[in-house]
Amino acid sequence: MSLSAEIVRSNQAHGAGPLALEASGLTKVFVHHGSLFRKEARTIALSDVSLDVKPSEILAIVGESGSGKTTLGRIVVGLEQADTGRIRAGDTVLVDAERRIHVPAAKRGIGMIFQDPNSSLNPRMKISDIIGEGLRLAGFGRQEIRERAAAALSLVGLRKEDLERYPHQFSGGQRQRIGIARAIVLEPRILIADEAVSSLDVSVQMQVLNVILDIRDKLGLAVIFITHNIGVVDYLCDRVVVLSNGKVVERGATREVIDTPQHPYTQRLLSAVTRL
Amino acid sequence: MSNSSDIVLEAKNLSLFLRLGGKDLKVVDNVSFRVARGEFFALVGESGSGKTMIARAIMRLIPPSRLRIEGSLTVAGVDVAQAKEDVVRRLRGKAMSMIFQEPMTSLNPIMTVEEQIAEAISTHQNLSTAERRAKITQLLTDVRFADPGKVAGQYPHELSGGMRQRVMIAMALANDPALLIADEPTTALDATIQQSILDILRSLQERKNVSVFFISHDLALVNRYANRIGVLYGGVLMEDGAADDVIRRPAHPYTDALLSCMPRARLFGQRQAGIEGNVPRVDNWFEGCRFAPRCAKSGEKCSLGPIGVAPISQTQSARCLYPLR
Repeated sequence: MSLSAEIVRSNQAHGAGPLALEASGLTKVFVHHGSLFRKEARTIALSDVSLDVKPSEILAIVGESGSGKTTLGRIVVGLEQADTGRIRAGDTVLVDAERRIHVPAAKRGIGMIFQDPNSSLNPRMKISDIIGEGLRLAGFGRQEIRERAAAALSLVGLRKEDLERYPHQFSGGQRQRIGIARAIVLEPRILIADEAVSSLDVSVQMQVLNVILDIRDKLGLAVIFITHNIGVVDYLCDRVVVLSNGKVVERGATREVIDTPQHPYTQRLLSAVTRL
Repeated sequence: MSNSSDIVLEAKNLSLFLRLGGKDLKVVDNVSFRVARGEFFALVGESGSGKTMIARAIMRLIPPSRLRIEGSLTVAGVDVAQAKEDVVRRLRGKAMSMIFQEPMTSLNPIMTVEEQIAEAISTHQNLSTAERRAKITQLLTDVRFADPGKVAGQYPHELSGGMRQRVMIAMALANDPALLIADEPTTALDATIQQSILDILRSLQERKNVSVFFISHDLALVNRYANRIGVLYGGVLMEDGAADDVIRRPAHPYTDALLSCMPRARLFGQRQAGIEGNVPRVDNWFEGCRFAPRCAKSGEKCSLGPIGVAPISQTQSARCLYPLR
């Protein structure tokens, strides 16, 4: 661990206790293959990144575009493979790159909410099929699928009747609720949200943030919330990890990081935030 | 207050209708506002509120066969709602110009920065090669490129998002327009880059007396830069006033609700309420105040018919029957 480059806060908000997820030493390099006109190039997306999150805790990953925060989320959920590093959920090893273990995304018990509900919901599928698809693949029967899908919908503040409708019949905020219902229907212990409210109207954003708080409270989920919006971090998250150029430059309790940022990058990021 | 010759842009009872196969769809509803010379006016609204439509109507980027304009829309003394196409073309770039959200789609990928700015200049000015060179260097310096000579020879793909947007601003200012329309120019950019672009816009506004018509969905952002703010909802200008008044002492319940939606720290775990319901869809507008169904202050009268403008102070007004002040 390059401790010198990283400011670790000793008095982090969480004490000892079981972790929902623990990742260490994650590295990811993207190789752009060369051609006649172009040399081979390497982009270091992540370099020795570690994080952990407890049940019922919301951890923010903040950084500007290109900082590696989306890659980090995709590696944790299993949409991307790390070059080095380990990820564990409780006692279960999800990733051990050195031993070439990469548990498939569907078997990790991690749900994911995407940025744009308009493009992440299939317009030709009914809500019941969108939410129920994971259940079907997991081998549940029809009756059980309906019941669980309806329960997930009610957790995000939508009604059972909405199961029969199509995505275009909903507003942007409602579509994101559907995306959340899909993410929690398989009862994951961990939820990853990548810019989950960035494409929503301001007057609707708060509703969705409160839905995330609700399901965290009700289900005791650990949430990894990837965002560039400091206001949202302040509202939602217990702890923060700040990424810059693929490295963790600062981590700590939300209040401390926002009030007294230590790393120059965090300071610059916060000074650019317009607050009322 | 400014007199009429100082008004660079004025909309009077402006309504816009998209022509969709014989049926006209109203997208902006009876909006009036003025932008004075050297003023930074921010038009804030959520998606579907009509803010981009207003910007495009000012530039007449949508042909009259597709967009019907009612009321007047005056730029530098010319009513662009009525003017012929060749008159509008002479205004574009010279009296008014525009920058967009995604600079890459507005720049030509196979022309260098210098060639593109030169093209913009030669549309309205006859300069010698040396004069044009000097002008391009000056424009690139104005948008804070440390090495204008280097940038001039580069292609758009060699530049970062923030640099591309600065090139766009340089191009937009090539013919010294009185009005610069900026349609969410920083939405796709990181916060630190966003700030530097806005700093550039403000310094141009102050040094060159350019009027900036800035469209955004972010009240907190514009609060830092705008002199005046207009708040749009469902095609209606809900509130209009000095930036400080609109932010600190909002008169319209919608503005107030929007401000309360800005997420901040939860002391002792309490939650912010936000606003129930959804933004009304443009094909589903109704008479009366379009915010009424989501408004805590609304009464029966709110949905009876169009709401008139209530003057709140000399510089602030709101379309509300029950203004907060």
